[in-house]
Amino acid sequence: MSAAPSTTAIASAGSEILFEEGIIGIPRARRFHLLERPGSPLRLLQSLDIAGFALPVVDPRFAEPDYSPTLQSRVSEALSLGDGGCVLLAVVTLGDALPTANLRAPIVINVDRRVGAQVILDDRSLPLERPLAQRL
Amino acid sequence: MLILTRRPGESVMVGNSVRITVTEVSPSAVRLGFEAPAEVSIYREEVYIEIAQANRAAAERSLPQVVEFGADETGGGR
Repeated sequence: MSAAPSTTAIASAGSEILFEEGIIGIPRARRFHLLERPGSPLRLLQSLDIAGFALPVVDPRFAEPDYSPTLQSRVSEALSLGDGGCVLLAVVTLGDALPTANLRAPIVINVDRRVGAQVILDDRSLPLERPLAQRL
Repeated sequence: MLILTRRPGESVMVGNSVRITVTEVSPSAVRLGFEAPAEVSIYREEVYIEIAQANRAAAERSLPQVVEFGADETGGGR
């Protein structure tokens, strides 16, 4: 992990993203900023509702290059994905070893409407902790 | 916990928008059918709990990144 305390956080587009149903298990966490910084693909989904609550997230293709899960039609409908760009992000668990990405329950964000949800995919073979190939 | 008795084919309304129907009963399992708006997510409980725990673990270990990103408690970056 780099030591760069002067790194500036850049909020994507500056406005909040709304998760109507919150994050799985933490329904109170509904409004987020998605922070990114130069030099790392790791982003931070920071809660605006719960102080100190944040989830590191990353493009799932860092863990699985061919990741292209099928979203249930009800998910596409709930997030109005038909008319907006959709971004998938995997929640990352950091630790002493290589970071791992949750490929079973991605974060899905409709970029245009700035709404999102965490979706649990049907495919039970998708891992909760797929090691990333590199440190971020 | 509210306990209701249903026979196969009978249903329960949860609020105005969710209907749960008992479709089949066998000695070892009950098949349930769910009708709900797209915004209402429906998961087997053990899967839900597993993901919730994974989220909490990821959040607990996120502090070094919170520092790196300069994300303070008011919700914005520097």
